[in-house]
Amino acid sequence: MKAKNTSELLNGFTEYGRLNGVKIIDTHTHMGDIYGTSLPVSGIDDCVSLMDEENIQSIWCSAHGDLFSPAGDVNRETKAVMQRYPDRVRGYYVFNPNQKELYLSRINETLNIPGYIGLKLLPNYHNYSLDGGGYAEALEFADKHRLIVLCHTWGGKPHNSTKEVANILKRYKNLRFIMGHSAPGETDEAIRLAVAHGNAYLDLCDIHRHGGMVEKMVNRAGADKVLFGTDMPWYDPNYCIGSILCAKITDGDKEKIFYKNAENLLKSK
Amino acid sequence: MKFIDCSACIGKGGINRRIVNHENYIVTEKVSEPETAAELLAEMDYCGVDEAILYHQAMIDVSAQYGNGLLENELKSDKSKRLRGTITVLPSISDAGFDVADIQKKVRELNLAGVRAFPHNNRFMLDKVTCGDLLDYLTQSKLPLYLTPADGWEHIFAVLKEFPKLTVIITNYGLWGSDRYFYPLARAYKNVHIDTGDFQVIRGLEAFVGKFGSERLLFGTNYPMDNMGGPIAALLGAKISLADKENIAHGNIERILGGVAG
Repeated sequence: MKAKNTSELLNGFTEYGRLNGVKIIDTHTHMGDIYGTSLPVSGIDDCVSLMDEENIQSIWCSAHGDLFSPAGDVNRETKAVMQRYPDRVRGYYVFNPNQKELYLSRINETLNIPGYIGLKLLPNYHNYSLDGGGYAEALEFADKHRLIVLCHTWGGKPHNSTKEVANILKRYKNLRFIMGHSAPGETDEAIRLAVAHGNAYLDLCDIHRHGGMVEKMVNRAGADKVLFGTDMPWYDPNYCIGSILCAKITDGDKEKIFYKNAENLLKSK
Repeated sequence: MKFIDCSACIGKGGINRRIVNHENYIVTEKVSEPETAAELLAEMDYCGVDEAILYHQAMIDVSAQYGNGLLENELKSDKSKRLRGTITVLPSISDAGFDVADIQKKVRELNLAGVRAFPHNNRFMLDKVTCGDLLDYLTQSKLPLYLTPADGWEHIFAVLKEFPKLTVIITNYGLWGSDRYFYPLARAYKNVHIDTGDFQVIRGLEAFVGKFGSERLLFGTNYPMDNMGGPIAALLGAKISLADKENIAHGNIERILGGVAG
């Protein structure tokens, strides 16, 4: 049956199986294999082929190896994929507070190596509170240079719930803070933070799938505050695209989420 | 394309929704819940879903008996003929109303499309000792048994070891890729099927179809834990043939339900 949803973007996707004419910028991705799941597509070459097929112009990436297995040459995997595909991949500099001195000693790379756009923080996985002292210098650096900070957030979890995020947003007004996954379990509070703080953004990665979630974010925080994310190579971009296309929001708002908001973040640095 | 949703849910949850993020990892999140069959149909209309097979949240939050009753009321009030139900079963040795004859009667009366078992939630073993009568009936009738690994995969592997010909639909398994569980089950048991509602692995549908064909995948939305648009777009955008998409979207579930003994 034909959907009552009259979105032209949906109609186009239904006809062609991809978004034609509207590019996508995926602001939350990784790269490489990972424990816990098998991934038919995981390497950068296969991911770029997939990006071509799904009209994904670029991805903002922190590689799994850099997140979970720090090496002396920090962020080696992320740098490698940025250098291999400079027009398609932008990088987050993973900062691990457990080896603060090492990561601070190289943090200027975020300014000096082409492709970097900011920091990636993973407080719960790194077992360190986002508002603890170990992150302070990195966040001050990001604030000074108006970097984008993508931080894993999760409701009810230690170290990166909305409580810690709120503390950070009170202190830092210049960095642009993306609440990774939008704090599942506490999304209402994440949305409230996005409303209250001009530099706070909601990430659809993972959370887009829930019934009514895209509408709730757009209706309360505004489409300008919502970013497209998939955890690539974890989750099918088409699934996230469908969550947006079938949301009861305008096509204009959908385009903001697919790429315009991400472009504006880059322009406003 | 015709879409038949193999698994959607109605009813308000007492704490909104406990959602499987990945197995044994539950997130409690506020989602838009359809309280009634009519509200579910409105969302289906908006998204272009023709028919759906549903259950009621109260089957989990309150009891099988209570939730089955609410579902029955909704099914009887629905005039669209686009909805079919699934009731939740309990061991007949302990709970009145769950003898095979009782279940057969309900299946005929309500034109049910399957039954669901939540053995962990209801504290019983889904095995020959506890549920032999029910599992023999389901095997013979080919009526689908819906199982979720929300509390772990062990009971699914265990029941299929004892009853390898059961028609099983695995649903509500979370967004992490589950191929390391799916593939062995699909290889070992030809009547195991996967609801695509939570299937988000990049090129996962293609990989599954490449190994096992398209006949084992059933389009589902797992609504409202998942929205309807995601699974629709994942299928429409999959790099598989149109015939495979048609199988998954509606053909497979039609074939399965057409083969159920009366």
